Amino acid sequence: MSQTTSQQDTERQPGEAAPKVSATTPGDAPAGTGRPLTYMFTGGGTGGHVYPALAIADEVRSRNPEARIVYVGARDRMEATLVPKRGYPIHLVYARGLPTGRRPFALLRFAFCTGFGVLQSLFHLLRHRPRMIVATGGYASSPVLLAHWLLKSLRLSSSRRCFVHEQNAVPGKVNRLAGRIADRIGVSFEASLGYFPAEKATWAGYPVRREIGAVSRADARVSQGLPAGAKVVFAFGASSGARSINRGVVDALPRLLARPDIHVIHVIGQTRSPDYNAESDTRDRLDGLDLTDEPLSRYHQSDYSHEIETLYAASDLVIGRSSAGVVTEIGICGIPSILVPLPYAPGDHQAVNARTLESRGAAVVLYESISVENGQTIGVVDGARLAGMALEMLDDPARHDAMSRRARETFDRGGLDRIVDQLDQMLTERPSDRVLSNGRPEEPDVTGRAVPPASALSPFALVRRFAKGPDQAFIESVGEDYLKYRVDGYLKSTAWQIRNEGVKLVGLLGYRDRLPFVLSLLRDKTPAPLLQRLFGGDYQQVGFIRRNAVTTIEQLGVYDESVRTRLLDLLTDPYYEVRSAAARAFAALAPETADTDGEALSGLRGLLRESSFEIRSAAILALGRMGDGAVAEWLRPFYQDPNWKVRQAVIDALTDLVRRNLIDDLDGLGEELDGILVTSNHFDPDFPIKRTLNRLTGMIRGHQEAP
Amino acid sequence: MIFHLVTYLFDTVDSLSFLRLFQYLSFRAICAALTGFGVTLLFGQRIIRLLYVNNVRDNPRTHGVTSSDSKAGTPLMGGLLIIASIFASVLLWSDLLNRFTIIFLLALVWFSLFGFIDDYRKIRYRDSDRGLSQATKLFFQATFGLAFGLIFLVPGLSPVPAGIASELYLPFVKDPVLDLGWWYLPFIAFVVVAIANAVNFADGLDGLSIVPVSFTVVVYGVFAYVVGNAIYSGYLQFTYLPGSGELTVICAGVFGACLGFLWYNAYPAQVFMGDVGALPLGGIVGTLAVLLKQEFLFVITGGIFVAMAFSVLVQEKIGIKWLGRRIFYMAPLHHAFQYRGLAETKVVIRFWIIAGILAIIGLSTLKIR
Repeated sequence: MSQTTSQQDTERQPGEAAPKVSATTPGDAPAGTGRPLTYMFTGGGTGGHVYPALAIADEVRSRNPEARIVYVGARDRMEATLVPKRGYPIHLVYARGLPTGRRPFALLRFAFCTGFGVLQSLFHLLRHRPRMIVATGGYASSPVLLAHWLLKSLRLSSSRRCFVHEQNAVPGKVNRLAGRIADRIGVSFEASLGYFPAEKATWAGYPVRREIGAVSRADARVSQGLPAGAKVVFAFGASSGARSINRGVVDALPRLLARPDIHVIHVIGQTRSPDYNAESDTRDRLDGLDLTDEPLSRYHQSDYSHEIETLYAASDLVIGRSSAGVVTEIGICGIPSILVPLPYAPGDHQAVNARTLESRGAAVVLYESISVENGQTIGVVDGARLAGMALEMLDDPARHDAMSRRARETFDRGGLDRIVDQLDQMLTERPSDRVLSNGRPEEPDVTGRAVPPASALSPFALVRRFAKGPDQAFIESVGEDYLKYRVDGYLKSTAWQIRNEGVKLVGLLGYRDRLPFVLSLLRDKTPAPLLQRLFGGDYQQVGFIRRNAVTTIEQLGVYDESVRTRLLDLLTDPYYEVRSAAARAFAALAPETADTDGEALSGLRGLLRESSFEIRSAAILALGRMGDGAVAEWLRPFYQDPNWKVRQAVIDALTDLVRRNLIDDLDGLGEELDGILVTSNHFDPDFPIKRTLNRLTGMIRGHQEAP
Repeated sequence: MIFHLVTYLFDTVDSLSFLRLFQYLSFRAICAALTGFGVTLLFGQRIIRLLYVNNVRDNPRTHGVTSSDSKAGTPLMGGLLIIASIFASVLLWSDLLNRFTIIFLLALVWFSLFGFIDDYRKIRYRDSDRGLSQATKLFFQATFGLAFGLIFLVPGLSPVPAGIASELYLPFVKDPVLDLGWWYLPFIAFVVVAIANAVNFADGLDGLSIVPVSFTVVVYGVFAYVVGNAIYSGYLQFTYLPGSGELTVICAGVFGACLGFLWYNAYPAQVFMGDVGALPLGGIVGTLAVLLKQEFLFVITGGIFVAMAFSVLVQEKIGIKWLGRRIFYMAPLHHAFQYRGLAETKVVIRFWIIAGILAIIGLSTLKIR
C-alpha cells in the first residue's frame, strides 16, 4: 500500500473544535510567524497510553485554540477510535510490539512493520512539520520517534522538540529507547527517573482529566442515590481480566453487606469472551450467595460507567487495578484503595505502581493467587481476605484519614499543567537549556522496603538464593505477599523452564497452599508436541517439572489422600526420575506407625523389576520404611544385585525393619547377611595430611575465639 | 635443532658420518619420546610446586578447612608442563623447515594461548564459570580451523601435494571416496573444532584424557610413518604424502610428554592439566588427523572422545534444554559411570582399556583395506 493512499484512507476529518486553518492547508505554510503551531501527538497500542495524550492535547488546545494538533497512532488499535471521537485528526501507521521470546519470523515481521511505519511517519513529519512531538509511549509511538531521530541525526529538524511522557513506575521498552531521542522526559513516578538520562528527565506527574476530583462528595452521593452517612466501596476491574476482581468482590459481599451502613458499587465491565462472560458469571456467583433483599439493595452493579469521576467522589474505598491512570485518579481524589495489580503487565509495572503506593502508605496491595479451572490457570482474588482488608480500613477512621492524606500528598492534579508548561517552555528555550530541578525530594517509605533489582527476582536467582536455605531477611525486604505473587507468575508461565523454577520455589519457600496447584501439574497429562515425543519427551509438564514437583511435595511435608493417590500414580510415570522420586517421597512422607498401605507396597514392589538401579534402590528404601516383615522376603533377590548402591539400600531397608521390630526371626536374618555381596566398586578416598591440617586449623580457631 | 646441527655437521665433516643415524625417523622418534618424557619428569615437581605456591589451584583455599576426602585444591594448569616438553622435543628433534612441522607448531601455539587465557581468567576471578565462554572458545577454534584449512587447500602453501589435499579418505577404503574441493575448508574447520572439544570434555577424571590421547597419538604416529614413506605407503596402498614422516617424530614427542604428565596426573592427581592442556592436546590431535588425511580414523581410535562429546551434546541440547528430562544419568559419560557407583580409578582404567582396544582396531585399518 502506498503512503498516499494510506494517508487518504486513514485521515479522519477533524471535529468542529479543530481550527479550520489546519484542516485545509496542511504542511504547506512557510515557517514563520503566520504559521500555526503544530503539535504531533503519538502513543498508543493500549488505552493507557492514549488517554494521557488526549488529556495533554485538550489542555494544549484550551490554552492555545490556534494550535494545530495531529495524532499518529497504530492501525486497528484503541487510538483509531478514541482520537477521532475527541475531534483530532489521526494518521494510522504500521507499528508492532517487539515479540517476546526468540521467534525469528515474528521478529522479521516486527522489523518490517516498524520499518514501514518509520517511512510513513517520515512522510507525516515532513508534511506537517510539527514544532513539537509529544509521545506517551506504547509501541504505536515508536515509528514517529524513530523517524524523528532519523531526521534529527541528519540535522533536518533542528527546531523541532520532542517530549516523552512516561506514565508507569517501570518504563516500557519504547520509552526507554525514547530517553535517548527525546529532548525532555516527564515521568509520573520519581522511581522511574533512574531509567532516563538525568539531564533530560524530570518529574511531572500524570496528566489527569480536569473532570476528575471536580465533583463534590455530597453532590455525587445525591446523584447516585446513596445516603450521606453510608460507607461506600467502589470496585471495578479494567476491561481486561476483571474476572478475578469481580469474583473476589462478590465473594466478599456477605461480610461487607452484613454491616448495615456499607454500600458496594460494582462496575463489572463488558467482557463477553468465550472464557468469561462478566455479566452471567457474576450473576451466577451472586445467586450462589443466598443474600436477602435488604443487603442486596445496598449492592449497586452496572457493567459500565460514563461518570467515573462521580463514583470516585462518592466512595470511601476503591478496589481496582493499579494502572498508572487509575492510581493517579484515586490519589487525586484522596481515596484509600485496595489495589490488585494485573499480573505480569509489561515490566510488571502494575505491581510496581501498587507497591510504590503501598510504600507511601496510600494503599494496600492484594495480589492475585492462582488456581486451575477447566484445565486453565486463572487468577483468583481471595474474597474473604478482600473483605477483611476493606473492613479493617473502613473501621479505622484514623488510618483511613491518614491513607487518604498520603494519597493526596503523593499525587496532585498539577501534572497536566506542569506538562503543558514544560511544552511551552521547550518551544521558547534554546536547545542547550537544561532542566534544573530533577524531581521531588525522596518520599519517606512507610513499609521500610526497597524494591529489589529485577535480576534478584528472576526465577533462577530466587532458586539459587533459597536452595542454600531460608533467607528471612530477603523475604521481608521483598514482602512475603509480593514474593508469592512472583512465584505464582512463574507457575503460570508457558515456558516450562520458568514453570519448573516456580515449582522448585513452592517447595523451597514452603507454600503449602499451592499444593493443590502442584498436584494439578502432576495430574496434567497433556502430551508434548509430536517432535519432542519422538526424541523421548512425554507430557507438556516435562520430566523435570514432574520430578521437582514430587520433591516439592516431599519438602512441603503434607501427606493426605490426594498426595497419596498422586504418588501412587507416579510410580508408573514414563520418566525414570519421577518414579524414583515418587518412591523417595513415599519413604519420606508415609507414616511409619499406621497400618501398612498394601496398595503403595505393591506399587513399590513393581519398581523392583526396573532396570535403573536408582529406582530399585529408592523402592527398596521405601519398602523398608513402610513395609511389614514380609517385605524382607522381597528383598532377598537383591543380595547379589550387580549395583552396590542397590545392595546398600537392601541393608538400609533391613536395618529399618529390624529397628521397627518387624523381623521375627532375627537369628535367621543374621545368618542370611553373609549372603549379601559386599565387594564393592567404590570407596571414599581419604587424605590423612588434609585431616591433620584441619585439626591444626580447628585448634587455631579455637584459640582465637577463646580469649 | 639437533637435527639441523647434525645435518650440517654430517654434510661438512666426513669423519662424522656415523651421525647419519640422526637422519632416521625411527631414531629421532625414540629420542623425541624420551625427551618429552624426560623434560616432564625433570621439571614436573618444580612446576607443580610453583603453580601451588602461586595459588594456581582448583578451588583455591583461603585459610579455611579443606575436605579431607576430596582433591579440592589440586594445582591447575599442568598443561603448561605438557606444552613445554612437546616444544622441547619438537624443537630438538624434528625438521623445523618441514611444512607439516610448521603447521603443527602453529596449532600448538594457538591452542595453548587461548587455553592459557581461559585458565588464567578462571584463577584470576576465582570462579570456574568466569573462563572464556563456550562461544568464545568455539570462535577461537573455528578461526584456527579456517586458517588451517586455507593453508591446507592453497597449493603453494599446502604441505600436501596438489590434487590430494581436498580428497576425502575413509578408513577401510583404499581410494578417496570423493573430492570435496573448497567444501573441504568447512570440513577441516569442523574436524578441528569437533576433535578439540571432544578431547576437552574427556578431561574430567585423573588420567582419563591423557592416556587415550597418547594412544591416539601413537596410532597417528604409525600412520605418519607409513604415509610418509614411499615404499610402505605403496605396499599398504596409501597415498604417499612426502614429508609427513616428520609427524612421526612429533607424535613420539607428544606421546613422551603425555606419559610424563601421567606420572604426576595418575590417581590421586598432583596436578590437573586444565584447559591449557586439554585445548592444545585436542587441537593438535585434530590438526594431525587433517594433515594425515585420516579424519575418520579419529572416530575409531578416539572413540572414547567421540562418545563423550556425543553424550554431552545429547544430554545438554536435546535432554536438558529442550525435552526437560535427562537422557543419561549424567554427562559426559564418565560421570554417568561414577553416578552408578564406580570409583574414579575403576572408571579411568576401564576407559583406558577401551581406548587401547580402539587404538588396536584403528591400527588394523592399516592393513584391512
